[in-house]
Amino acid sequence: MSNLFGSDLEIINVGISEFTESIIEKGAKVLNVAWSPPGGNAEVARSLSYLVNRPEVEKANTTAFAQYLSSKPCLVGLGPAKEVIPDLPERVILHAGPPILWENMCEPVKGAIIGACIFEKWAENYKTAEWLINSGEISFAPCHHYNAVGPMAGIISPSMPVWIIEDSARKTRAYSNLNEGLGKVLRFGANAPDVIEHLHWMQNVLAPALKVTLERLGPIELKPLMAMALHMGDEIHNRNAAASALFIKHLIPAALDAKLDNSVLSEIVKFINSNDHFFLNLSMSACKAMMDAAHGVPGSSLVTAMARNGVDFGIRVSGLGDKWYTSPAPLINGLFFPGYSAEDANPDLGDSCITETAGIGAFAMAASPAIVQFVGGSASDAIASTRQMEHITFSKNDAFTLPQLDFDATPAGIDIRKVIDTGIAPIINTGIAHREAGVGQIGAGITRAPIECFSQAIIELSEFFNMSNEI
Amino acid sequence: MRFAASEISRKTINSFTGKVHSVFRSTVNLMLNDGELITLHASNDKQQLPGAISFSAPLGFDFSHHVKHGTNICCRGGILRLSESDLTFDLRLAQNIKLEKNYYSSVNTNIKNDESWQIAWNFLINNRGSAGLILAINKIEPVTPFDVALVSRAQECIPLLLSSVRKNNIVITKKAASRLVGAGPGLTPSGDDFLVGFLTGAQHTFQNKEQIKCINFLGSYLSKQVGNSVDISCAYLKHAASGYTIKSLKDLTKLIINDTYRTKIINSINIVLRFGHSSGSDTVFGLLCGLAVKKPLLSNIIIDTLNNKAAKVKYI
Amino acid sequence: MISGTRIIADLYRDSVSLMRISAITSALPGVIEASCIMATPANLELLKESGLLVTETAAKPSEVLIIIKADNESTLNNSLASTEAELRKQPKHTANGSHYEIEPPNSQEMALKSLISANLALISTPGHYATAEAIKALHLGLNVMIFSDNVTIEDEIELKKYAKNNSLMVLGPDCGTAVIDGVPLGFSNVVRKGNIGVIAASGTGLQQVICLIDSNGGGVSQAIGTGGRDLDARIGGITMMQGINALASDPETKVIVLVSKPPSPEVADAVIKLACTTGKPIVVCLLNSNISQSTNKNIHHVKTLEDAATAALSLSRCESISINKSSSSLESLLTEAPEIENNRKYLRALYSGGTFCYEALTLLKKDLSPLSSNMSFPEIDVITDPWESLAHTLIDLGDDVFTRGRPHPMIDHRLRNERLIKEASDPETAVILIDVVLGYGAHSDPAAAMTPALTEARSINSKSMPIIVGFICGTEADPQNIGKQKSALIDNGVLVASCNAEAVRLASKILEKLK
Repeated sequence: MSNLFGSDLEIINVGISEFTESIIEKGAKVLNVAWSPPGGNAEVARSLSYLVNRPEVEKANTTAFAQYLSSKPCLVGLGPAKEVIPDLPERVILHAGPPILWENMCEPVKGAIIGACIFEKWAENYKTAEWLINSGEISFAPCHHYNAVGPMAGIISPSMPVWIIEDSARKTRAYSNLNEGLGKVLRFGANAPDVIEHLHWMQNVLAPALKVTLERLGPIELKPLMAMALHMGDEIHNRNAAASALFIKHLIPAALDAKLDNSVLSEIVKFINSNDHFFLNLSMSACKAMMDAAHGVPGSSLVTAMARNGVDFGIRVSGLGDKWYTSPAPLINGLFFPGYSAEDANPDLGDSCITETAGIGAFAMAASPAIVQFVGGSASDAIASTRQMEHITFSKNDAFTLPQLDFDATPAGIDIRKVIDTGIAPIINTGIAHREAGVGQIGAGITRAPIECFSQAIIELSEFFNMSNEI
Repeated sequence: MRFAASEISRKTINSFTGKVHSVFRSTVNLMLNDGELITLHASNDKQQLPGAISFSAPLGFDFSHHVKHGTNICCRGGILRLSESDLTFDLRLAQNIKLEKNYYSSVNTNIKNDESWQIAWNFLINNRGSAGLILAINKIEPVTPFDVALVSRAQECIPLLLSSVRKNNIVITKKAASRLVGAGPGLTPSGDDFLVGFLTGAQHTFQNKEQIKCINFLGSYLSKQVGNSVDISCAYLKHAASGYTIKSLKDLTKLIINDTYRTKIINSINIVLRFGHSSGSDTVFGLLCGLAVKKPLLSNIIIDTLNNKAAKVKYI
Repeated sequence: MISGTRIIADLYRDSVSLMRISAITSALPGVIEASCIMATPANLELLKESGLLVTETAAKPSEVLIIIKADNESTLNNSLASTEAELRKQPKHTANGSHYEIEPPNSQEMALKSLISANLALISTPGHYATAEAIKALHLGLNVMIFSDNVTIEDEIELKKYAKNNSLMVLGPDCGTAVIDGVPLGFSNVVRKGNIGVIAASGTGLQQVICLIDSNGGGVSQAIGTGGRDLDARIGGITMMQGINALASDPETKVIVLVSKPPSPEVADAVIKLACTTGKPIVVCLLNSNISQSTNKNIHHVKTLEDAATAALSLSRCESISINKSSSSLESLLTEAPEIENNRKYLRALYSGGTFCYEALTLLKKDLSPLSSNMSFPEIDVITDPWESLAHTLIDLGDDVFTRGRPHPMIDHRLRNERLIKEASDPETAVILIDVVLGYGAHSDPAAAMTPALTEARSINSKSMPIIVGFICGTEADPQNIGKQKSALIDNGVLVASCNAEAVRLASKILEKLK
């Protein structure tokens, strides 16, 4: 028997808002949905409807989310990419974002790739590097395809040192490059000799020293450190100062213990100290490990990757295999450093929104009200942003609690169904790169993942369930 | 926060409405509009509570941080939502467990070995509980006049119950039980806890139709005690009357019937004692009485213990 | 020494807390004995036996009784107060959900987070999105009312099959009107609550029946719109049958009225068969059907919406049904009709409600010839140009051809006003018939909206003008003030009948007189 009669009628109104009048007049409860066509078109709307509250999807999401929660990313060491990343081809350069051809890449990424070729000593200068690339000698692939992530241009070449993150729950690994620091650096497309020299220093001095230190220290569990950083004002994407400070606190006793050469010790401490974003790459690879744990559950509608290459924005979904769903990368609304404006900005770039994918970054913005000084808005906007993300996520990650919300847990597990149904796109805090190679960061702001990516994914997920006309 | 129910021990329905009735750390009782009581149980320990929906919760989860008495609840499309909180439960993913009923389920008709019963009894009377019917048999002296009166009632009613059930005397059974319903401290009064245990024990040892008539009558009587006791407690009495009790109590019962391994029995008792809000000792007391009904030797031990205590208690 | 009690209702603290708080209170200076105990009859007895409780108390078993014996009155009062406070202490409550009300929901699922016990989704999005919204609603466990039209029949079949399998109802698609649990939904009238349940596969049909019930002193328990196609053979009347079952077990409903155009014979049979099992009197109005009276004494077939209301009222009052055509009111209206020239001979009916047009065709098909309409109707010609009347013409202005890109004629009168003037200008027009529908969603002052056109129609030729017959479908409680509407129409020279059937009979009689 239907529950329509005999109990209080409570109505959800979808469409003509005037219909609420007669209901309110009668004193019955009604809530009006601020409706707009899901995904902007009827096909997406229809595909979505088959998936909403569908038990198979909920079950898959429950499994995927539990795997994400149980993930335990630990920093276990570092080494050259070619030595530690399995199956890495000889002449490959990994980049941020979904796959893209050289001719379509944006300037900062091209500049960074050139720099990497020079660093690898495959070419001596820009010209020879370009020739090499055009001859097809070098292959490109997204970092994500090798379980890695990189911020901004996200360039990882075979000789570059990478962090090794191991998920101790699943014994799988994720990787990221080391953060070069601020200013004119490779990840913004700079490839002048001093940039290359710095990369060599990182390869030959910094990395070995860190490796020895880490061997002394043993594996570091990253989630507890990140949780603490969230309690100290970081959101661990655009604001990493506390996390970086906590990290160096871990390192220094072990570094001293490792009996490194004094000048080396002095150099590496000075370097890490000068870079408030040093922890970013660790945060990103920890998030990558967590999301990899959630990936690959058939039927799951949870987003396991979001990434941009400066031209396209791409997402991956747990139940849809390794396919990327892409759309042009948006421009960013933000605050610019003096002398720069929106005309100078490159479209959204980098793998760093893996942090938002895992429920931190802009999703935990409530933890970092100070971020609004960089990205714009007010402190209450920061809190509202986190709260808004609750409407598009599966649940919350109680490993990451937010003091400003009475230690409520951060929303996590972006559900493509909810994104399309509500029209609320995931929010991302991000730095803004200059569109020309090598200039560097020119500001920071807030952007949203393009809805179109999720629309494409919805259609394919509903096909996965082999809909004919069955509801 | 979204949870998936892991076990449901009632017929699955996709749609119901009600309110939060009582809130504890890892349990919440929901009173539905149709009068039924369900328990939401955050636990990994698969207790198989009757009328319960279990789910696995993170460490430190505390219901009282999320809901309070009177909070509205509603289940639509298989999703249970609690108003003014972000807790949602997907009930469709739960394994619908068929609870084992107490009677007609045991292969054994009688306790194999009085020894295991003795082990349990001795452990119980050394229990240091200082409230409830346990005071009638353990080594703690009742202090307050209320406790004295309660102990006196226990000494009067429990022997009556033991003999009346053995002799199938419905009238006396009803009289004795009625004096225990609602009696004693606790959200579920001690007397009710005792009777839940008693029913469980008796259901396991009566196998033929004649003998079971009295137990069925007692169960039926105890199912109708709304108005004489706290509503949650009445719900548990009703479940017990139908043959459904928590798994840990069932496990203990089976151990006593089938096993003599001392450590196992004591561990099992401890599990029951830990569960719930100090109902445990009275429940075990009742269980042992229920198991002893058909055994005059064991019944006498119970009565003697009660009487010895009586001799020491001054009746005001 | 003095004893006192306090009763705390609606508070459930676990046993450990109760005992802990009892112990704390007992240890207070000046307190001789204290207890926090559930007030079951047995405990009250024990308290009396132990001398702690000396008076009677109204406490109930699920309530906590605080009982304290203290040295003096002030200690007693203080300790009672402090014990209550201790019991009521709530742990810190993270009010996570309170912020949900701030943001208006963008989706049904989001809305359910705030309105957790919602049980109906009212969908009026553009047709090509309506099915998707309905599917979502059903998945979420909500019943659905689909106001939207332009939903395919294939979709309707799937929706209703799913709903049936999940104990949910789909009202619609193209369901413009319903009154559920007394709440008017969509384009609906405010009617008195009572014991007549109406299930209709037609919006205006439903409105006419419930308005007539209301204006004749009766009341409506439920008014369920099933959508226009529910009784199609491919759908099989799923919603109507769910409605019949629901009303059969509804203690408030004494009489059930079913309204539709004639369904396929199998569906009609199935519906009547089910109706017979209810044990309640059923009034069946299948417009333009030739169905013979049932052998079952509970089933009453009627021919018009008016008769349906009349029969239902009689049955609800346990009176015998007397369907008389109330000829006295008809006669008085006839006498008010002015004389008109003999060359005027045609009826032009301009309907905003499709079912009214259909009912009129049913009543006039044998009397008037040549008769045409823009509606498809057996044995009646479909008019070649709906914008041009020919001889006797009954027009449904709600048809797509008129409403494309325009609001429905019940909301926007401009099209009908233009047509009215056009018909009035035709020297062969004898009678113009109009329906005026009130209620939520309809125009806020239809009479006023029509006045300019009515005035102009009468001034085209002061010596010779057609007679304008109309009726109002509405109730006293509707927002438009039915009394004012009626007066305004009468002032404009309209002969106002009580319902469509009477208006049609009036027109018919006028035409007869002219022959």
